[in-house]
Amino acid sequence: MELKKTGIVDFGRSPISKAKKGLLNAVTPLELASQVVEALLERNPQLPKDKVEMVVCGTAYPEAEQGLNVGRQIAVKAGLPISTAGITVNQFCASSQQAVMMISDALSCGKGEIGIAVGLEHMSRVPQGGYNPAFDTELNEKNFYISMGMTAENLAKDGSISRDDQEAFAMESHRKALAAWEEGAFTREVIGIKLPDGSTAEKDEFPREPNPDKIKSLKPAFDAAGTVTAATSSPLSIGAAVVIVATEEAAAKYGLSLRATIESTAIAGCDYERMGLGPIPATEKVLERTGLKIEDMDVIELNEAFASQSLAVIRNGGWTDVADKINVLGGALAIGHPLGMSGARIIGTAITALERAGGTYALATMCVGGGQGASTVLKRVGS
Amino acid sequence: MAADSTTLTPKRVGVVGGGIMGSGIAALFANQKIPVTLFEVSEELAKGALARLTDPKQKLQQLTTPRNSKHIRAATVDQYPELLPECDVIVEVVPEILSLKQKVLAALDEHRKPGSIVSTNTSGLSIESMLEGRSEDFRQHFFGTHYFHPVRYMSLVELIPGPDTKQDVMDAYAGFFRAVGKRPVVGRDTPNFIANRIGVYALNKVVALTEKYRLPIELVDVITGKALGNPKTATFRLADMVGLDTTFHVLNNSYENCPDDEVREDLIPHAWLKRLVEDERFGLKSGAGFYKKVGKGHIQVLDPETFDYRDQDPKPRADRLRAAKGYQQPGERIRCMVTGPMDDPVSSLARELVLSQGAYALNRLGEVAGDIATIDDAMCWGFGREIGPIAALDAIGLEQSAQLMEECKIPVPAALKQAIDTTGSLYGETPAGERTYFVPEKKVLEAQARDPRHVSLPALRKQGAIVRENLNARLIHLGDGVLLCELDVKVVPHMNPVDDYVLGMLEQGHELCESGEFRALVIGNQAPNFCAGANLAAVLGLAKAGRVDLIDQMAKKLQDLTQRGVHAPYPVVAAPHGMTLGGGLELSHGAQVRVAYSELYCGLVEVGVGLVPAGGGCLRMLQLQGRKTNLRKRPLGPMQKTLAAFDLIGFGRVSTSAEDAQRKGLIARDDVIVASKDEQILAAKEVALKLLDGFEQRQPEPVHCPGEGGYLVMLDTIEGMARARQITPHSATIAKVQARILSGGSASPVVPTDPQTILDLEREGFCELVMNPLTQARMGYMLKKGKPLFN
Repeated sequence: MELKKTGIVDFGRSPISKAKKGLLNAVTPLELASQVVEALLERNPQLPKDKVEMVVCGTAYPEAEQGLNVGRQIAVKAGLPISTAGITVNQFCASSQQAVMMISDALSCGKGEIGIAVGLEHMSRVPQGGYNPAFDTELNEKNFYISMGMTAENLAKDGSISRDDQEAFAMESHRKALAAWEEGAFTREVIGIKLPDGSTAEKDEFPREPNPDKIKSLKPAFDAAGTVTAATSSPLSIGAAVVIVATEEAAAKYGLSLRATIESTAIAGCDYERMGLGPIPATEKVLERTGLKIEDMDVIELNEAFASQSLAVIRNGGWTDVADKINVLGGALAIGHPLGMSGARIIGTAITALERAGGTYALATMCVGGGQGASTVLKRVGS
Repeated sequence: MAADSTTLTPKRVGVVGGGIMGSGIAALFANQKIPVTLFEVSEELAKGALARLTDPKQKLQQLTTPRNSKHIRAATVDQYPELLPECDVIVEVVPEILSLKQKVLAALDEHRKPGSIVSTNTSGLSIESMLEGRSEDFRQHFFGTHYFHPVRYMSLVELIPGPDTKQDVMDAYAGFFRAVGKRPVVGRDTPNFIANRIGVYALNKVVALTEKYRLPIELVDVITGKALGNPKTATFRLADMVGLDTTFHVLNNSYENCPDDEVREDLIPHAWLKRLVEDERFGLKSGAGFYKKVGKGHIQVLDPETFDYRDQDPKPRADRLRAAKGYQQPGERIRCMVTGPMDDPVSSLARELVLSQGAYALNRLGEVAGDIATIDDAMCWGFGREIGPIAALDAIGLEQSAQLMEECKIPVPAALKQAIDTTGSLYGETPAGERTYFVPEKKVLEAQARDPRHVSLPALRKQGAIVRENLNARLIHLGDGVLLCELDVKVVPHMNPVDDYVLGMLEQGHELCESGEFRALVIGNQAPNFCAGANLAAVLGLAKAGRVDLIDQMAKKLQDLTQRGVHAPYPVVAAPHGMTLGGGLELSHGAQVRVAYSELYCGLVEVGVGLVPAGGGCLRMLQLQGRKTNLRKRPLGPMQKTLAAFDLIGFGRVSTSAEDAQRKGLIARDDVIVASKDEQILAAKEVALKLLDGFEQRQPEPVHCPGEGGYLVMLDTIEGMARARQITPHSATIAKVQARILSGGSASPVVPTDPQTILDLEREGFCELVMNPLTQARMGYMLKKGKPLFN
């Protein structure tokens, strides 16, 4: 069987809101995701809804309002025909990157023509850890459930990544995100979310002009003897991202233009006490599969779980030469990291950045709690 | 409803004016779930008043829970025609300007429905002067009130009938006030009524005496504080709180309108007061008065020589004060203070103040109120005093009082001479324990009529209702076969800590009910607080002596008794009120139902002394949280209630009211709340009797616990917090013990856990912690300093 080439028709996301205090607290995760799907369908009127094989929603804590197979709920609520299947997948932070991978793989194999990947996380309505967490004794003894903050501390310690370096990296992320907003870089990708009071949430709530004095005064958040603070950790946040995937064949057939093709994808495991290094093995695999080198990438979206984690990947992965291509529109430290949403967001934002740069290849990669990495290589159509 | 029935249950109350008093009065009714319409001149002002009531940042919370604001509807005076006829009771609380009051009352007269009750709130305006031009029906249903600020916490309300007010209107309203927890006294339409009339006289006197004896202001506040049976705010602090402009105004009102006062010149506002008011130094509201706040926690005091401020003496001392401190009873302290050496300025100030105030109060008899008890009650309830100014003379001894007055050149009041010649005292007690008071016209002591719903435990004791008694508790027959176990710990009467005596008496109470001698058991008291916890000193002593076995036994006894109370084959009702902490809350959970006084400050605060609840507290929190999460239809699972209980116990959360306690899950949703502390014991007895009808013994209530899987999750969080130094290592140790208990140890998340397992874990954890030197340091610190140590 010959595998079909797949690509991305369109991408949209909600603005990212602060957990607990942000505007999006007013809406349920289902409502949030459905609004983004609806908006994307509306602006792609030629897309034949009855050909949408599946909606796959990736979310890190698929329970409560993100449970009950929220993927299927989104399909129905967003007005897709009853024939569209709905799935919920979980791979922690890579959940919605995995959703894109699953759809792409299925379509490649000829199992359908179009699929919609959703990334979703509402970190105040469904708390991190979920409502009934329980650990296994044996894995606990092996420190498998190490907190994410401590993995970031481990990386800082291993690589002697100073607090100053981490803070400089985080501040840069904010500056880039602010500039991107200023320049209107997100006009196409950010979709306003209608709130129950009739108003609309339109902007990312986290990016702000960094205050170095305040940042330097923060106490370490996870280890009093450590270097990682709230300013150098991605914040608890709320958001949804949607990627429409189709085969090249289907795109041509229905008059849809692809913005980028999916060249290859990879996932890999790593030391769970240093889960932040996951992008390195996953990227090695995906580059090998595409026959490309890291230097071939015009844009790199590296999810910023922590500043120390991103710096560890850049330094240990030998990416220092391409550092200026990383997160040119700002990263999760500034924009936010709604866990399950981020996989789809970095794929979409990679396309935004690629189009702005007029480049060819983009890499979207992220680390995953429990010790994993996920990477996707995209190629801009028309390059 | 018709106003003319004996009990008043208004369907809607109209409150006109949304200032501090107006919104406080609106809150008083809303707390009783009585619908209120709050009228203001504009919608903005009405909504503003409502917003202030629910603002969590306000230091003073007039509502017992912000949710009660839903009973208040904001309206404007333009809506009188439609909205006023809905109100059975209308409370006018506009600013105290006679012409304004007259105008507002005319509008109310026009729009109110006939038969509705109208009251005006004033601290001293003449009630009669407001009535010109009012309809007859209005005059018959109109009277004055004087509430005290803050309305939620001050129990006194002075009721001032007008010339035509119908008696049944007054009776109905007084009964209604008692039911909502207020203590009404009926005064007469004289300037500043009762409490303020005597209160400002005394205040002005203190200022004058301070000048006369050249004593520092902060020292005088100590002398006129607890030593004389007054609250800590004493004199100058109280004046700053009330506002010096207000104080000045009230004094002037007395001076202007009481030309016949025997000591009229004492009513002229003292020069210091006058100068402070002229300088616009009004007290707290303007930042400076007799005291001045200069920084966070730094308060300076006025130096009358320079009229500038200086640092305070942090602990003003005097020999006489030290002597008075040795007495438990306020009367004894006062006697000690006034009988000090004649050349001692501290004793002299106390002496002249107490005697001139007593004389002034006694001379107001027949003028401001009909009897001395009303005057003393008003002073106690309105100013939080432990003893009234007239009763103080009794405590000193009447002959000695008269002698001291003569020495101080204070004319001895006629009533005092009469009492000396006849009854020999101003107060007494009937053989049944009812209070009696001196009636000068009859020259006898007469028993005071008491509200039948107020059960007096001291009176019951006199009447021979004591069934058994030991050092710190007793069993009292409340009648109808209901037995009360009364906690009354003599050495610490404000706190009533649980100890072996208390538990022993409770056990005997259960035995007497078990044997059928009594039908139901109530656990309660009428002390300032129900019970502030276990006897910490005793526990620490045992721990230091290495007797962990005895500590375990004591905890086991409390657990067994609380379990016995919950599962008894007869009704057991607890009556918690005020501070109900740690072991006190556990004790009130040793019952099937709680009849709580609305001012309930309860919580499991053991963490503050480095311990965990081990009298069934952890078990109860798990059971209550389990019921709560079921009710809310939240996603269920064993971890939910464990985490909720962990939050309550781990942070030692304390309720701000009984309603708040229900909301937090510290007491049960179906527990009863009463607004009147005086009626609490009777209400508890009635609930117990009601339970008897078709009584069903409570079955064991197993809890679903997450077991080790959940415990490990909590452990991870606790260790994370310790690593980030958000908590101290010892706090982490305590939290881990809490987590072990609340997750059920090795419990299975699929099989319900036997309550006894949780109880055993409680004791195991308690005994482990109590032997830890860091916990012992926390206990020692609390005993010594009265506040928690976070080591």
